[in-house]
Amino acid sequence: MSKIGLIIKREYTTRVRKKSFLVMTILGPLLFSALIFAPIILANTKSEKHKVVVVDGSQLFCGDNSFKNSKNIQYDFSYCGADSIAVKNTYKDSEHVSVLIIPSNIIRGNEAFLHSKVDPGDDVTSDIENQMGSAITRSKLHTQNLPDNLIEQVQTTIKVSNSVNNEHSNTDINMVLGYVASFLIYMFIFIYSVQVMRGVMEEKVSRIVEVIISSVKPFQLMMGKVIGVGLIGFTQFIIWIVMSFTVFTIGSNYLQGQLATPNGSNSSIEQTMKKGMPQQQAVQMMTHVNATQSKAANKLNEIDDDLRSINWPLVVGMFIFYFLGGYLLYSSLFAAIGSAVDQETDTQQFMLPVTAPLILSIVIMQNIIRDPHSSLAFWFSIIPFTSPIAMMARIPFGINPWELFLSMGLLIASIFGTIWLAGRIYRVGLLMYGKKVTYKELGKWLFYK
Amino acid sequence: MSDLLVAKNIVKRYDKHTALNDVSINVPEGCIYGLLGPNGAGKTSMIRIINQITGPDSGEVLFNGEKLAPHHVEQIGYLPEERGLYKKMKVGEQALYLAQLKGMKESEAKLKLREWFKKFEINAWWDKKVEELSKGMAQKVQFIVTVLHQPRLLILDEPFSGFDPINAELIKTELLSMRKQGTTIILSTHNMGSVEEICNFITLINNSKAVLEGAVSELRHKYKANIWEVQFNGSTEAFRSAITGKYELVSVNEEANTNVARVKIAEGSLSNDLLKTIIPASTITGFSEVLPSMSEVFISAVQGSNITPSAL
Repeated sequence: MSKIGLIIKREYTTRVRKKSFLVMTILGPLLFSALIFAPIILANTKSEKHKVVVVDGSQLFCGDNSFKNSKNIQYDFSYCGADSIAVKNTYKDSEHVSVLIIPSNIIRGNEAFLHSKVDPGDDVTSDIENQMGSAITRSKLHTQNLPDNLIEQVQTTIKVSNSVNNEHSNTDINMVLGYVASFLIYMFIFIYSVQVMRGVMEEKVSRIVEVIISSVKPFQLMMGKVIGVGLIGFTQFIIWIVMSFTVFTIGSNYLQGQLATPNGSNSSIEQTMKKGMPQQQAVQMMTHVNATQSKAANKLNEIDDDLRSINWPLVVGMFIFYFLGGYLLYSSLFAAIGSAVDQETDTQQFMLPVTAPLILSIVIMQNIIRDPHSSLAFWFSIIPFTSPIAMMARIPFGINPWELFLSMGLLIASIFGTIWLAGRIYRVGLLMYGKKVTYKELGKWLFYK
Repeated sequence: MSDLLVAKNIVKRYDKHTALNDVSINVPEGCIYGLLGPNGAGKTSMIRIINQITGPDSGEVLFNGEKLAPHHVEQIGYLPEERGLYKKMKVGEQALYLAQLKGMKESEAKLKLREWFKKFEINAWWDKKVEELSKGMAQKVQFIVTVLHQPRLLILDEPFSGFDPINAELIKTELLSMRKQGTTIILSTHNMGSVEEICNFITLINNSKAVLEGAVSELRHKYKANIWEVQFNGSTEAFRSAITGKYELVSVNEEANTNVARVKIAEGSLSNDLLKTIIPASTITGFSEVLPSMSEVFISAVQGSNITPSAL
């Protein structure tokens, strides 16, 4: 076996046998899904609804026009015509209550006032604005003596059905996919690059490194470690894919089974109904059962269609490319950091500039997903240090081939560049002990013979 | 005896500091070669260049007549001054890995390792993790790993520092028996006692330059000061009065059975003449030339240069 092969084998086998690898492989998907879905779940399970007490001086909203309660907001119209100052005083110490004061001239003034102990946030104000706005629109239309049914017709909700190149495309699914994929890449790069750094430091601190680099070139040692740890990440990824595929298959079989069995049980319902129920009632009930079933089936088909609309070979292929590319780019830099320092605490000063582009790209990912074709999204997905995350967020929405090729080409070129750079620092850093290393020093190391 | 390793005019600079300034060494095959000098003199830099860990700024190294190349590492064994092992790895597994990096086949390495483990009586450690071993135990493992692939050239940087006395003795014995089998050994040290005991050749490096080199026995003769040691019975007073003219009494000690004196003979005189002078004054029981210790050789070699004898 070649020497670099031996190093890869050692890095791989010592890590794959660790308990932490097993634990991470099993708990990883749970952890990741928790990281991704916890904010969403938390947002949806707000324990206490925010109460908005409405004091309506205009008397426009007190009757049939009162606001509808939303998921997180409960409207209280019991003080509708009360004295605004008294109501304000009643609730002045309640944190989860705001008092909405609508002046009598709301139709002309277009302004209402919300009093709270703490700022209730954007959700509450925009919900009030929306509901009040449409109510006032309705009432303005009323004053024009338009018939009710016409007003009802004027109120319209539009759903935009998206299609790209004549194929059905679901923006929501694309967003989720982009979000999950780029977040996974971010986590992978971080976790495994830091592992590379730790591994380098372990060799340096335990002083075994000089023995090893008398047998192999420092560059071989560095690349062996980078590739070995990368393979660990890849193994973990493959296991996760297999796991989620299994769960998905079992899950969808189960769901289909659930939808199929009522067909069987239909007959039994039919029979029981035929026995006792009047014919008409039975038919009505049957239609209802069938309707619920087909609704569920439709929803399932829709999701299925949405998933099919995604160019999976491209997404998966690019995921693997950017996952490996991003990892190679960053892990070699982390290896260089590990070689330059004697202890973990010294890594901070070098970690910051290296991780800054990573963190920046995860921060602006929200914007990229919202507008995947903006110039911000373009530049972040072209620049190599941010492209693995930014490009992955864009790919599900479809991308110009030339942008993709440019981004990939630049990434590959930078990988060679950083590996060369990291190798130069690494070979000198490994044998430097007890020195507080500065950037100037690192610069000099590049030119040592 | 041909030279196994030749380093010619090696220059190595770091930043503003010159670690090696035009240093050449010739290491004959089958000898123990000492690289000596105070800390910071450039010994470790030289050793790292021979191990191809760093490259010289100028000069070249020849191994067995060929220009030093990566494939030579399989014929070289190296024990650095700062030595360690992977703490979390098992002893046997780790030794196998390091042996394979030196180009050994796994099966061959396993066989050899078992032999060495038996020899050093550490068979029971095979499946222990290194962090469970004491420092002395780990040192044994490190030594085995260094010599396992039967290198033609063995390089040890400060081999006797950090080793406990029992291990140091064990290693000294191993080194001598390996030399007998034809292994060439380079070691750096500032322990002069071990130099006289085991080294055949030395180079003294001071302030980045080679200030002294040659065979240990020749150097001691070269730097001898014509001092003779005389053991005699009888009056020391009579002995003292006999030493005149061309002779200079360095010291006289009265001991229980016999007196011991050191006498310096002037350049050009013969030891026989000294004998003739002192025979009438006392009963001579012993007469021998005093050779300088290596420390004394170094001090006289570098007098004038700013070496500090205490550093040796």
